[in-house]
Amino acid sequence: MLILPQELIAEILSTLPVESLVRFQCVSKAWLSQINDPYFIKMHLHTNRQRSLIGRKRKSNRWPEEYYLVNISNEDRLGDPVKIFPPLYRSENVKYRTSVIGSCNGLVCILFFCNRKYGSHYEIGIWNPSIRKHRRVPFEPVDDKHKQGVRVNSLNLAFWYDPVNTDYKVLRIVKFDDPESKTKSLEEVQVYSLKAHSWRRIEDQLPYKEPFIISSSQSVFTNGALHWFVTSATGRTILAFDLTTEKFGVQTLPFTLHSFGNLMVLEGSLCAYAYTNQATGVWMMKEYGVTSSWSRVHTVPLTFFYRQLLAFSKDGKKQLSVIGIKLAPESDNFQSPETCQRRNQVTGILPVQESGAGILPVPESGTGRPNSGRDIAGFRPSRSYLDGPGY
Amino acid sequence: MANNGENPSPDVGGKTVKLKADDGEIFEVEEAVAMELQTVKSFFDDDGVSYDTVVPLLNVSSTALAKVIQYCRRAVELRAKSGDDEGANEKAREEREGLEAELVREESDEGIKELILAANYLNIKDMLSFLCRAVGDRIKNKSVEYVRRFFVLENDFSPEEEERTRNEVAWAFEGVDAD
Repeated sequence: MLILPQELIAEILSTLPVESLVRFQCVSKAWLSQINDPYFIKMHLHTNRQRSLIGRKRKSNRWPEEYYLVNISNEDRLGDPVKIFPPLYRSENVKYRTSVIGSCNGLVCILFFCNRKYGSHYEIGIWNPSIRKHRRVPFEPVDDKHKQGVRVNSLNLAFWYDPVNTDYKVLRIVKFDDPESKTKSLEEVQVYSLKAHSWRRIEDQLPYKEPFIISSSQSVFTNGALHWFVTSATGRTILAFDLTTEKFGVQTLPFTLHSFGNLMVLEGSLCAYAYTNQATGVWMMKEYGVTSSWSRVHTVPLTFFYRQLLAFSKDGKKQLSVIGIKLAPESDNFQSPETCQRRNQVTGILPVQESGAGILPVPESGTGRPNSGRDIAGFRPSRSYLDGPGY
Repeated sequence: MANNGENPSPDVGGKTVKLKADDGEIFEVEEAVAMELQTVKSFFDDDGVSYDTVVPLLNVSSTALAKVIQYCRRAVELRAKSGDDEGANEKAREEREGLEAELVREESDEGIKELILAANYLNIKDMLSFLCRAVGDRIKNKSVEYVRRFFVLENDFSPEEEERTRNEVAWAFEGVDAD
């Protein structure tokens, strides 16, 4: 009987789905060690180029909520939704809802929130659906001078992977009533590091003098920064947070785009899209930071609203394949993703929008439930290790 | 072109290289095909080694070497076919996948392990890659016991340790193929 050396076994293991790897930890101590080795986990992530969407069933009163995984084939075709094990909050007595903030390297950042009845409480978790474990991010109260607790008006979150520090990060932007003045609103920005298990205050201030709302339903990452649409008295602008310098900046938009609702990334460039009943228009900022370089790149004729566009490419192929998430009619419970089979020739290789950062505006305290939110993210299964004890 | 893989005589007239398997059998192979085997390529990259030298491949059986040569020959042909034309590329990719599937389909578990060891020793990246994927496919839904037999591994866990791990991840044991 032939025996294969460990490095060849590792190569074979790196082709396996995560569930098999979890089971094969029982094979032997050498395999247990191999499967949990960080270098192997990285290798596995790179070998398994399975792209997926992870989504939560909307408009459902069932609890715990139902999560589904949809695989995307190499030909950009969507598979059937497969039900997966949901992230479970610690206390089973408290009913909570979840929302997807974003996903990187197989880790999904989840927002747990309990409505008014249970105290308008929220918590953040970093979840690996493939190994069915999640790690709770410690709750960090807003750092207010009076230490009496504040009334939170909005909460915006983003999740990303920092390759320089090999660390996962969560950004939190909180707007709250100034306790000293009932009319004023203050902001606080903090960043959580999974490695350090702690939050850190961001010194830079949000650059708006007048009242503003972060209005996009997700942040997007490109050019080393996170971006959101912001609406203020002067109209619509783009807020950017540079992840290296940790500074905020504002970019102006041509007037045409002031009604646009969503951002995404194509070819490494920031794009905005808006949809009407007839079509979805996509505009691209061809030169980063140059307002005049915004130009229309696509018009995708559609017969129904696309609630969210995720653009993917096939490696090496110079084509844009747009996947739209159809807005389900009121009677449908599950929003079935459908592939919009429009292919347009674009030059250059398109980045896979897989590590998206999502924003969930928390409701005005009182309604107890977010009125919009992200329940779908691009996803890639992995064995990414959650440092420390899981759930 | 002879297809049985056993000592084909190429009448192409190009340069050939002689490869010797572990039992002494000599395979005469077109240079382009021989260079797919990085080990062979490195052998000739050394200064002063003439192309007439017979390359001794001590760790490869003649059965395995014959299959490797046959695969590499077809792979080189397919690569020559693909170019800038997307249609041709697509077709070449499909044919290559067909070739890979054909190679593993009839192979026993021992046979496939032998090919993996050969592809590793001869340093043929693409071949090793798809062979590993093929084995992955074979074992992914199998039980822990099956995998131990396949890879000839001892269970060095204590019964308590094994029980504990199995209970922690019981969900991963659902739907496993019967042995």
